[in-house]
Formats: sequence, C-alpha cells, structure tokens
Amino acid sequence: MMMFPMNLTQTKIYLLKLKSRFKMETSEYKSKLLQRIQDNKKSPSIESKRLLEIAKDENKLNLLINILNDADQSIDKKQDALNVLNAISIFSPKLPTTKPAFVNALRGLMANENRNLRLTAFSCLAIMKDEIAQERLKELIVSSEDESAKLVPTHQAIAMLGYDEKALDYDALKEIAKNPPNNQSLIEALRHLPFDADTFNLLQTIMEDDTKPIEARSMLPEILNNLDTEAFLNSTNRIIKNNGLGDDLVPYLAKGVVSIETNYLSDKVEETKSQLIKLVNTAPKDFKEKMNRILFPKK
Amino acid sequence: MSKLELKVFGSNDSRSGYISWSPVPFIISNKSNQLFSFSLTNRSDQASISRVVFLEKLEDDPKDELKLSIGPNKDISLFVAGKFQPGKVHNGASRDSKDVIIEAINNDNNSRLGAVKVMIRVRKNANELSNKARGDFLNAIAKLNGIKVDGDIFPGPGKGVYITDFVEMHVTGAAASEHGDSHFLPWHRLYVLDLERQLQVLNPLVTIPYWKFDKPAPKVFTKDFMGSTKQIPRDTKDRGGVFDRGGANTPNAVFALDNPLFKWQIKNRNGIPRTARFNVKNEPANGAIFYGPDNNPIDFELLDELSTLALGVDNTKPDGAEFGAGGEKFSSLEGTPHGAAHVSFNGFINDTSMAPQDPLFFLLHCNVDRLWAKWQYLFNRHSQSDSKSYPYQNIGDSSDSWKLINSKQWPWNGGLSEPDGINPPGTRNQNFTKALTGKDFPDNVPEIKDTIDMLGYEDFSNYMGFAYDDVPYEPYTNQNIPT
Repeated sequence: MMMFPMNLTQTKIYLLKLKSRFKMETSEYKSKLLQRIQDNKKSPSIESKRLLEIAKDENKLNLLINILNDADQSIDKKQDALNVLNAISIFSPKLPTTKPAFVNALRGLMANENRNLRLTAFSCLAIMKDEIAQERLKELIVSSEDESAKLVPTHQAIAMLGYDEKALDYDALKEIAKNPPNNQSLIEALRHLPFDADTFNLLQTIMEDDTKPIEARSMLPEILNNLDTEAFLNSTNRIIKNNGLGDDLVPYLAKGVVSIETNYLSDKVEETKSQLIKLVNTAPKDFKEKMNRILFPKK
Repeated sequence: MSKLELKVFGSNDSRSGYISWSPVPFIISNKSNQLFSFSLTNRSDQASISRVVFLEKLEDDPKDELKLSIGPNKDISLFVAGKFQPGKVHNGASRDSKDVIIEAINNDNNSRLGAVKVMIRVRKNANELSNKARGDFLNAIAKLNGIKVDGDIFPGPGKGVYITDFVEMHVTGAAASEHGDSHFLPWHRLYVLDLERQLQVLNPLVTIPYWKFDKPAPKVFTKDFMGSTKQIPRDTKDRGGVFDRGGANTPNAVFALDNPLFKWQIKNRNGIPRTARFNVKNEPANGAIFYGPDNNPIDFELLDELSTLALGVDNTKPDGAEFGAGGEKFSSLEGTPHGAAHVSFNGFINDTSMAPQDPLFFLLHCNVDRLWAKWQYLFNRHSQSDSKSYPYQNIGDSSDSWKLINSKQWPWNGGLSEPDGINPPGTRNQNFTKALTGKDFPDNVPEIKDTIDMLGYEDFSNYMGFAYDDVPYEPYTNQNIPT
C-alpha cells in the first residue's frame, strides 16, 4: 500500500479537524443506532453466563470430568457433561489445562454400553488424534463383525479416522469400497479414498453400477474425468446406453462432459454431448430445463 | 489517450482501484505540457447507485465534485472515499464490480481528460449478495482449496493454500495463541483478512461476506451457496440433539451440482458435515440447550447484535465503553454470540481444530469481526494506545506475552504457537498477504496494534483495506453518545 506518512504536527491537525468531516447522514446513522441499542439491549442470560463461568473455571471443568469417570453416574448425566465439555472447547481458556484428565475420562468411555455416549467419546478422542482411539478404530474398520455389534459402525469409524489423514489405512478403505458392509460405509470410504491410477478401475465400476447409492456415484464423474477423460467418456456412453434417463447420475455425467477442455478428444466429447442432448429431448419439461442449463452453460 | 492519469492509492495498477469508506490517496498526474482547469466528478455505472466523494485535504469536508487546475507535468494529491448512503443497497457500496467512474472533465470544452473505474469494495451481508458476488466468492474460495473452477491447473481438491495454511493455523495446538482472552478478536481480524487478501489475488472483486447469525439467513443455507443444512433439536437431550463435536456422526450439507462447494474436499475427505439447531429457512442461530452437573438446563443463547454492541458500555459513563479482558466487557463476545454461533451446529464448525474446514466458518467470523468494527465505530475505540480500545498495553498487563499490544502474532511471526509449540503452517511464516489497497506490515508480520485502527482514524496509513457495508467511516462526535 502506498503510504503518506504524516509527522506529529500533521497528525494533530488531522485529529483536531476530524470532527468536522463526514458528519451529515452518517452522524444521524450513528445516533439512531445508539438509540436502538439503548432501547433494545439485554444482558447475556443468567444461564448463558453459567456456561461461560464453567468454561473459565478449572474446578468446574474437573467436576464435569469426574462425572465422566464416576461409575455411579447415570448415562444421561455423563452425556450431559460431555456435551458441555465439548461445547465449551471452542471458547474455554481453561480446557487445555485439563486435557490429560479429559482424555483419560474419554478413553474410559470407549467401551461404554451406551451407543451415543460411546460414539461421542470416540469422536472427541479422534479429533484430538488420540492414538489409543485411532488404533481401536482401525481395528473396527477391518473387522468382519456385524455392523450392529461394532463399538463404532464402519462408516463412522472412517469419518473419525478421517480427522487425521495419517491415521487412515488406504488399503483398508479400498477393500471397504470393493466390499462395503453397507451403503453408508461405501459412501464414507469414497469420501476418504485417494483418487489415482490405483483406484481408477474400482471407482469406474462403482460409477457405472446403478445399484450403488447415488450419493456415492455422484462423487465420481468429476474425479474420473480428471484422472482419465477418455475412459470417463466411455463410461458415460455406456451408462446413457444402458440406463438412459432412468439413471440419476445423468446430470452429473453431463456436468462432467461439458467441463472437458481437452482438444484431442473434441470429437468424442461432441459425440457424447449429442447423445445426452438426444436423450434429454425425450425428458419431461422440468428435467429438460435443468439439463439444458448444464449442457448449455451461460458464458 | 488520456491527458490526465487518475491513480487510486497513487498507482496505475488496475488492482488498486478498490476503496471502501475510508479516505485513501488519490493522485492526478498531468504528463503533458498543457495547463488544465477541470472538474473532478464521478458517476455510477448502469444499474448502480454507488458514488465516491473527494477531499483535497484530510481535514476537509467530503465533496461530490471538485474544481481543480493542474499545471504541465504536475501531480495533485488528494483523497477519495466511498460515499456512505444509509438505507440504499449495501449503503451505497458496489454490488459486485467496479461500478463507479471517476472522471476529470475539461472546464473549457467538456471533454474527458481522464477517467478511472473503482469499486467500493466492502464486506457485505451474505444474505443480500448478488448472484455474481456469490459466485465470485464461491469460485475464489474453491480455487484456493485447489478445486478446479476454470482452466487453471491447481494441486487438486483439498490440497490448496486454504488447507495447508488457513485450516492448519486454526488448530488446538495454537488455541491459546488465538483464543480465550482479549487477543481473540485482533487475531481473528488478521486471520480473516489474510484469507481475504488471498481470495483477492485470485479475484480482486471478492470480499468475505458476513453471516449475520442473529437474523434468519435463508439465502445463505441453500444448495447454491453455503449448502442446504438439515435441522436437529436445539436441546442436546432431545433425540438427535447430542452435541457431535467435529461431525463424524453428522450428515453432509447438500450443494447444487454447479456450486463449486459440491466438490469441497479437505485433503482426501469429501463434503462438509453440518446440521443446524435452528430452522435455516426462517430462524436465526440461537445456541443450544445443555445440562449442568445439577441436571438443570443451561440455555446457551446467542446474544443479538444490539445487545452485543452494548457489551462493555456503562450507561452511567457513556464515554467509558471498554473492550476489556473477559467479564462483561466487549471482548466477552467470544462466549456469546461467537461461541453460541459455533455450537448452533453439529459438524466441523463446532470444533476449534476442525471449524475452518467448513468455509461457513469465515462467514461466521467475518460477522464477529463486523460486530467489533461496529462497536469501535460507535464508541470511537480506534486508538492503539488506549486501554479502553485494547487492555494489554504494557508489559505486566498480561502474563502471556503474545497478548500484548505490540506483540507480533503467530504464525506470521515465524515463532511457535501456544500451547503446543507448532511451527507456522504452509507459507504463512513472515508472509501475511500483501495488498495494494491496504496496510502492509513490516516484514509481513502483523502486531495486535495493527488491528485496532482498521479504518485509519488515527493515521490513515493504518487503514487495513477492508470495511463493512454497515460500518461507515465517521469521526467521533460526543453528541452521539447516549446519556
């Protein structure tokens, strides 16, 4: 930024004369605003202050942590305490000082019989990149145990491990994507899987498989297009031919096709686009309009 | 060929034509051998109402037009500022382009001697953005995250500077450098500005919009903008209302196919988990209900804007508004509305170390910063040396050295974070993003004091290069303080 340094005298003159500047409409603006504040202000509620007090008070934080550790406390009370501890973590100056005790208490909840409490504890530890929790989660995602019997279901375990890129085992993720225990696990595995030559065939198969959930398939056109445009176009043509308009993936494929900028494939791109246009012409009005917005974007 | 060059910030660079409400240097250069008498005037582009004002000297009243003369091979130095027009769209700021034309018109024959286009570029209410402004912002932030939004080659989704620098600097290991005391607002002002300057490198029309969280913002939580967001109970005891810190058990916000955030990734993770404890279509955010050790409910409410602006203001001493250190002074907004806004969601955004992974974080923090800017404006708290503007003025005022007014801030200072001693992430070491349109810092390392006089009241060279659509530049006048 270009500077215009002022000496002390200039600064004083400037400050003295400030009062006369910009004084018309904006002064009225300020007065009205101040009046509105005067008329409408309220203090933070007593209850809000209670939470803020807990956040600042190490003793109160320790009291909550002790509830987590206390076998005699009810599940409800433990969950409440954990909710508070988690919520104040975003503004508490004192929570970091109680971290060791908090981490130990959370580890103690990893095997708790209550699902919500257990998941909250695991999740909190995973955010802190706690190695003990990460090891357990890694075991869980490769376990063949029934999903309903797992301490943490596969899809949630993947999401938790995903807090720390280094904690994810990509071979395990690929395996889950190939043979997912359920749709949620497939979606979560794809959310975290690196996209490269190694995973291309797997991703292409999933994209073309209309029995897979659309939440999973819709992630893939953009990715496959970036990895291998020609193969993406081949997949698109197969899906159009086999599934037609009945496939929810068609808009995502169209978006992928129009975003291609590679010259050497221009004939193939135009051919695929023509196929899409032909298909769309038979579609109901609303869908046709939506597709036309994708196929003929405004410049 | 123009006879006169009109240079905002004294520069011919087109990236300099971005001003806000503060007066900034404006130079007229006559490279010819002629003398000209001319009118310096301005007009709005089609469909715009934005205008600027001129000041020959800083102490002058602003004028819509100036009558000037300039000799051969001479320069004239004056000032230009955006014209604040209360009640009009964005209070007169530009919607999404350089829409004000400043012209020098020859008094002898009405010919145009020179012209320059400028944008009154301020941060605007996210719920009131034009489609173009919204698209520009989304494209820029996606691009900074490595997402391909045009023909440019980028490192790939989830691998851009947004992640390596900005996500990585707001982590638990740096929590004390950034949170928990009076330095919270200054640090986040720098953080948001550094990101905004990065976005402006990609597209100078962009500013970070603010999410006015105490009002309904139905246009923000849509598939076309920050994502359609499902509602969960406000009460953490109700079914589905458990506080899910970080969002491992929370569904993703939903984005339209042509929204660049549809492809949002953090490293390899795709999508943004987020649910709201309020109806995003017609309700404001309002915190959550928790339960204390005594089993009694703690209704943690989001303090509304007018009440927030009254924090630290003692009615019996109207001139005594204090920024403060905790208590109920202004800096206590870190708890509510700031904390209450964060915990109004499940997802990335309710956890310190994860929150910036959701770009909504920056809209939220932009609003927190706007509240501070507005409070500063209302109570004239721009003086770097006034303990009412910032409490830790001298050694000993705080036991934590990084909170003192002159302390150089992590990570830009190249040091180690508090409490965990983390090195500056990515490229931030001594590298606060420079700008043609606002203050740069010695060695690119800002101090807390640099954030206090953001509009340049004390010294116009303090102007940081940003402002808000509802916080004008206006000198302090005692008659405006309520009694």
